[in-house]
Amino acid sequence: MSAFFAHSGLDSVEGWFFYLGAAVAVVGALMTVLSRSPLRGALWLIVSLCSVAVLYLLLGASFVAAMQVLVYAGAIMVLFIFVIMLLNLGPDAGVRPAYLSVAKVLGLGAAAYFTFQIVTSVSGGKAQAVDGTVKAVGTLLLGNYLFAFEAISVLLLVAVVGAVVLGMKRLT
Amino acid sequence: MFLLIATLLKFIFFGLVFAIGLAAVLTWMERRQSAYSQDRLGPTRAHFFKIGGKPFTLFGLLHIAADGASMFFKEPVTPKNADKFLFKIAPLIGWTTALVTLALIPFGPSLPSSVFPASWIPEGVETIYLQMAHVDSGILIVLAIGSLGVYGAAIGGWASNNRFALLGGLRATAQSVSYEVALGLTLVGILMAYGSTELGSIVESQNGLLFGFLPAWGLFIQPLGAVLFFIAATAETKRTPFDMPEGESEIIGYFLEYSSMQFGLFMLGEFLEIVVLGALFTTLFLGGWQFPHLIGTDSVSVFGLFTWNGPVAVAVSGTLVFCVKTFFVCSLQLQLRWTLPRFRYDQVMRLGWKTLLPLALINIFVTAGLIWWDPTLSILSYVSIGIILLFVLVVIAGPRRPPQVAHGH
Repeated sequence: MSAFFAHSGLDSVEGWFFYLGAAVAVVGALMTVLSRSPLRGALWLIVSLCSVAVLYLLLGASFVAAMQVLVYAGAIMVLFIFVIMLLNLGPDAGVRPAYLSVAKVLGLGAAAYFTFQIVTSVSGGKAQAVDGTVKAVGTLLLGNYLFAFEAISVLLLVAVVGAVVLGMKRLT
Repeated sequence: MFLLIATLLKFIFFGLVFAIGLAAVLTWMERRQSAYSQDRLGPTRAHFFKIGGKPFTLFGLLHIAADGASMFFKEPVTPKNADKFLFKIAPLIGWTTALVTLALIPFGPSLPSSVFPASWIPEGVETIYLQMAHVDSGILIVLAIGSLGVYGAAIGGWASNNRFALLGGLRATAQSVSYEVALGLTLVGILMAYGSTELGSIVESQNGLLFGFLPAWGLFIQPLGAVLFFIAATAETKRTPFDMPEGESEIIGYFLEYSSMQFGLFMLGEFLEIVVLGALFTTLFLGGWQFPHLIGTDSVSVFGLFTWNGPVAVAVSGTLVFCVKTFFVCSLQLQLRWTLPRFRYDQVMRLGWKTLLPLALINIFVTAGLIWWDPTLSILSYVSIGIILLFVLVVIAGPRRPPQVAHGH
């Protein structure tokens, strides 16, 4: 029995927090899909995103955890909520039943495929804590991954310009 | 176990007693000040007994208790078609994010563990921080948690199932997203200058003097950043002149359907946000608990008249200095309310995106260039003093409204 506890990580506080965070993340993700109301779905997604940030914290990646909450939960999801509130979307708003069933089949298929891939690719053993300080991540981003980092910023710039162009068209 | 109890004590002192206490006192200050600005008497009614026929009101301070009691005993009404669960939790979101943010703010200098009996201290612990969470990416976590605060207003507005409340919630989300961008960018300068994202070490780096007399606080090496941060922070608290989400004269606000203590939570939560942003401004730009000439590394001295030695002395007076500075910044925020007229909605958006954002970006590039030129920050401080003098000059000798001429061209 004690061997089981040691293997599952339940012998440490971090282990308990991992299972708590993981469970909330999975429940949040499920409720995101299962909620009838779009706003409640979006709120469940925020819960899920924040729980994933807890998992990052447990791995020692405090910078990534802060960014996860700041960018996804605090900025992108605020815009999602804004749009849902602005359009005052109710349950199943604007979705044709035919599309909905196709989406269900495709979504279930993708979920099954990714779950299979994840389960088969995970080897035993505990995940190693990383050096997730701001300094370490910054050195990596502006050192080893400089090209990818700059390429992504250009991609985001293109998206911003595209959004401005679309907005301009609506104005004239 | 010791660390757990220490954290709990820090939370009770800084979170419950200082922050919530100051928030309650700010409600009273706001009432007094509003009355003063409008030539009214203000809160004069609440009293327990009379002295010489006059009610003993304690300058209206008893109204804090009277307001609290009246809100607790009123009936909480939930609208019929409201989303019951979301309606109930919405007022708590702002409180949660504000109190979690406080965990990362250092309210006093760190103590060496030798101050406490050796048997209390777990092995390997050498310093006790007067800060609940000593985390490497502190300021980023503050911004991250702070960005979640807007969900209180958004969800409250949505769950009320009322169009005006929904409009208030919408305005709150749009305003918060707009000003968060500027808020984050204004801090980049200070992070570059001090080379750290941990709030405790940012305060540590603000010790010493500039030019031999000026405290080396963030305000004096990032004056533009400080002003922009203060403006963006005021917008985040949703107070006048940025009170679009409330707009008492037009839409009443996202808390339109809230009554009794549920409304009270929203109202007190707003004052709690003022305290949190005041504490954050103190930490980043006013040197936190530091006070040159007064608090040394291991002794406190008031102009040589009174000295008190030891780390406990430094910790106690440092904490006191931090509280006084925070109180000062909070009262500055209250002053704004009756000083500036409120903006129109498009003016709020224009100020955020077209003024604050470009200025914050310019600040980043100029600061980066000056730090690259001279890593000891002395050129940066010369330029900053120049900017402060420019501010002062503009205020003293700036354009004034020409004398009003009687009608007729």
